[in-house]
Amino acid sequence: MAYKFDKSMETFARAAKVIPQGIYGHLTPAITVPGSYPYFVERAKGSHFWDVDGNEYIDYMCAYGPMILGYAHDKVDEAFMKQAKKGTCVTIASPLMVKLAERLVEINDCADWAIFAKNGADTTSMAVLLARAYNRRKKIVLAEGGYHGTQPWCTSNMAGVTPEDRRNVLFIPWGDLGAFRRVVEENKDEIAGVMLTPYHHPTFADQVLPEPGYWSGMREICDRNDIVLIVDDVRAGWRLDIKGSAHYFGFRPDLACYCKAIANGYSISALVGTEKMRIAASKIFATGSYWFNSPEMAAALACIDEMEKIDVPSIVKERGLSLTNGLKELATSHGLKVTISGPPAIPFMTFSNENNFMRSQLFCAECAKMGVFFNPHHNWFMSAAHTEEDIKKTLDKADKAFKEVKKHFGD
Amino acid sequence: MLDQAVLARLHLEAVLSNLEIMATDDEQSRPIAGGWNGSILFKAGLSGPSSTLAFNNSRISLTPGKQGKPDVVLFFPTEKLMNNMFTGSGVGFPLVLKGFTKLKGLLVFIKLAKRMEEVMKGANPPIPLKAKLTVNTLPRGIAILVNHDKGMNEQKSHLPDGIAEFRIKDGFAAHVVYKNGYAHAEVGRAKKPDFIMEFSSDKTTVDVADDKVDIMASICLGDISMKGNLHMGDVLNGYLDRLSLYLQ
Repeated sequence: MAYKFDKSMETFARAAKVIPQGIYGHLTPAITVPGSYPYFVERAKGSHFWDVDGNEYIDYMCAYGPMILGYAHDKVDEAFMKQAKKGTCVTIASPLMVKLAERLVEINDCADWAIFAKNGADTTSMAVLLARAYNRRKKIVLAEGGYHGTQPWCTSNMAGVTPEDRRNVLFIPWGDLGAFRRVVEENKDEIAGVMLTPYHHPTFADQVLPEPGYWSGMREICDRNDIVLIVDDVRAGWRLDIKGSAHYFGFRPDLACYCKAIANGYSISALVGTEKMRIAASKIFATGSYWFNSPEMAAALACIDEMEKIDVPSIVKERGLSLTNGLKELATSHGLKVTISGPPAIPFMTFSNENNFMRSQLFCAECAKMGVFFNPHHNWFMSAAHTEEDIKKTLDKADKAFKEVKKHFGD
Repeated sequence: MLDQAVLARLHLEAVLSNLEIMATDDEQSRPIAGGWNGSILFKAGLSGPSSTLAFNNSRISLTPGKQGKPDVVLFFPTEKLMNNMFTGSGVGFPLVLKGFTKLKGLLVFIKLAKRMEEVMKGANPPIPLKAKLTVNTLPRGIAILVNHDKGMNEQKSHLPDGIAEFRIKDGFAAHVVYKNGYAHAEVGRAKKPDFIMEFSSDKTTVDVADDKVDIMASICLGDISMKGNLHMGDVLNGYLDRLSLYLQ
């Protein structure tokens, strides 16, 4: 039966009257294909969610990364609820904070200490502050098309951003060691830090993995010029390597930012760093009303334990390969050319003969109408909850969606 | 900060082009446009932008730069003086370098400009005409900002090559073509647009022009549809915001 979105649309009409944009930020349906996608969720379990109209979806966006073990995961939810009954936001800190920091120091390759916050953007902003506190320099280097949050110093949307907000931010192409070397030369002793994602995962573009020698080259330039090397592992963290994506790619940053999958959907983030950065970290003032909430810390501890126990990176890699190999084969069988980019655990598919996403939009819209949720413009996420049965069903729907693309575009 | 030279180009190349449409579509403008045959050259500053507005049997055509031998030459010593005339603010007057005896042409232009003001900024505008003029202005304005507005350099660095089409559902369309750092606008549908922004009605188009629309919500509600390279659309949205600042 064809999916309908009556309740989603009714609810959105109400939302638009009381909330600017109706649904804002990365959950805005405007970046999907409105008319073919649901807007509001009723419930979620495992790798599936059900929208307010009762339509069921196999979800390959995983809440844009946080869901890694499966929605409504029993062990993580239990840990959260048990701690919540003891109090959530309390006047003094919980020892769980210490336990979680010890766990991160134990498990993460570049963590000699940890600071907790709520969102990825809290940690990226804190990392910038810390880098500047460390070497007392102003400038920060970022990659073009990189995403580190919606703060004025890094947002891609310029509404409300002043030139002064960006005065000390320099942009280079991701993966271009020569460009970084040049920018360092041109700004001798002025660059506080460079913040990059462990591999390039921009929206609206294929993902890019680092060339051999890229990260060792970055590390060497940073060391030679006393520049703080910051890895924004908010999106990729935990899916590639339990010890951190930097470990996966064979280097050690000075600071690393985590959020999303750290607690399987509970709101907590962490900035971790090496010994070198400890004293600088002791000098900054960083806090937030809910940064010390202990239930989220309990959830993070349970999530990390489970991820380690079941070896999440291996599972999501294997499932990702099943999905992407299947998609490639199907596309070829329909005479279509697709590009799969990024690691299998965080894959993205585009059509090789277009750069305007029209085929992707049709493909993803057709899939959504059959209960498979991909985003045509943003990388996808695999979780440990995705089953081979999910992937089999997905490929069955994808076959029909590819057929529509072929019918509409011809190639 | 707004650049007076950019604003002058917007007036000369984007806003004035609306007179071409008004002469054919607007019952009030048609007889005014038919009142004179000849051409007027607008020139802002010695090295600034210029455009030639030609009147020919009720038809109007606009050409950037000097075209042929204009009957009237209006020279504005600075871009700001010309912009003041268009916006009706501050001191704004031209030096008539040529055509003292053809002041009728000037009067025709003034009447049409006044009518355009009524259509674009009046309390009860003719909605279909205003919608069409809006869609005509958008790609032209974007092209000018892309090519000349240094305040948009960061956004320009994010703009991918391609064709962005703006259109009213089942109605008027215009598009902007961006390639190798340069943009130009064309009227009509593009053969293979990379990005399409379609307004579901004249009313929606006009509301967008008047900055009365929550565009993101309208996309989700189906009042505006976006298709294709949404990254291009996202960058162009910044240009639309900038355009509304210039032409407010």
